[in-house]
Amino acid sequence: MSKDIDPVNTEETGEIALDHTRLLGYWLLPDDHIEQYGEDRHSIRLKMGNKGGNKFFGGNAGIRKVA
Amino acid sequence: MTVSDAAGDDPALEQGSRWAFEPSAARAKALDAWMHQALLDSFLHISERCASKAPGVTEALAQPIAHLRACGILPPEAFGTYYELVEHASGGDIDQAVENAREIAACCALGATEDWPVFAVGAENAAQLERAFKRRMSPGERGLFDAVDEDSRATFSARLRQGLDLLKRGAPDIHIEIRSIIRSVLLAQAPEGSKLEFDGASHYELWGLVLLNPKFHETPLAVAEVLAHECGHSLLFGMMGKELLVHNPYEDRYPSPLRPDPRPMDGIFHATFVSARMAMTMEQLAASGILTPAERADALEAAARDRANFASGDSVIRSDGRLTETGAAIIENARRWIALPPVTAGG
Repeated sequence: MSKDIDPVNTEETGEIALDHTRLLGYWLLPDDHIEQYGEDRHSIRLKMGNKGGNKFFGGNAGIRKVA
Repeated sequence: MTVSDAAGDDPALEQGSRWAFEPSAARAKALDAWMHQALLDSFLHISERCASKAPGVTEALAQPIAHLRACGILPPEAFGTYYELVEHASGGDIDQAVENAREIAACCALGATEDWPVFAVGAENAAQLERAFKRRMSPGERGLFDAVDEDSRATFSARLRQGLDLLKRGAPDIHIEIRSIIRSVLLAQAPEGSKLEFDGASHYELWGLVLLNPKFHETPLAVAEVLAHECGHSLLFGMMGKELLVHNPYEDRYPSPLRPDPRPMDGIFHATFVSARMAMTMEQLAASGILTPAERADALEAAARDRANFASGDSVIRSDGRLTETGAAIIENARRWIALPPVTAGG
């Protein structure tokens, strides 16, 4: 197991273990931390597509005028 | 199979075609189909994972899954709510996740129309779209998008159609591309006294949506230019479905050719790319022979400004951009187009 992998017990947290690599809009970034979920460790959650607290890319790319 | 591999077999999305600079109706339609297929695959994964611990989510997602399998399309608010669903489910807020899944299911009833729906922030018929949009913004950004009254909406809606008609007659490939990608227009404006104003905006998580400020874009030509701008953002969102554009950390800021505030390299890339798309649109219209002499002069002036903005942004990309393979291919194609002599004869 990679030192970056952090098992989480989802039974206690109530969280649904989603594999973000299978979800639209999430990309693996170089500094992403990998968490592995569940006893069987078949699913992982990657903290991808989440930059600087804003959970979107280019979202305000069109805002460009000062009043 | 990951979402990155899904729906990638369309010839219009083979590597070279996906990243091409020139407008392509086939590519635009294929990107739209790719986004919907990726959303379907995401719903299938969420549905499977929720089956035992959050059956309400699985039950509610059955309808949008069937809808997408039947090649139905979903509006921008369904895409935006999907991101809410992912966060609530993975964060353990099951009640909210079920509510999100039900909201997405309700979107299946909103079919595509030939006419572009033009909504206004604050209007009752835009409530779900506005809610989905504002949930995805930071509080500071949210404050820039205030209500627009019905008179302003109706007036701008007529101008929007004039701008679209101009594109249809003078830049048909760009027109088809815009109509293939953008499904809804939402009008908003900054509240009185705001220091920042926007004139157009796009959001990755709301595929198919363009936001416009009716205070600006006073002529059909200006409408055509801002549509080319915002559709350029959406096009990039689709192009980067498999990979980001840059490796630069989001926290790092660089001077932008289009905005007064320093931007992350991702934003610089976007601004630079859309500047070239705007120049292309203005030059195609100038060469089309359908503009008045005054409009043609305005189009050429806008194109020159857009080209200067491209050069400004591209210098930042060249000096500081750490581009992915996708980003490098896209900007290189834009540079090749910019290097060609402008075709502005006509009129």
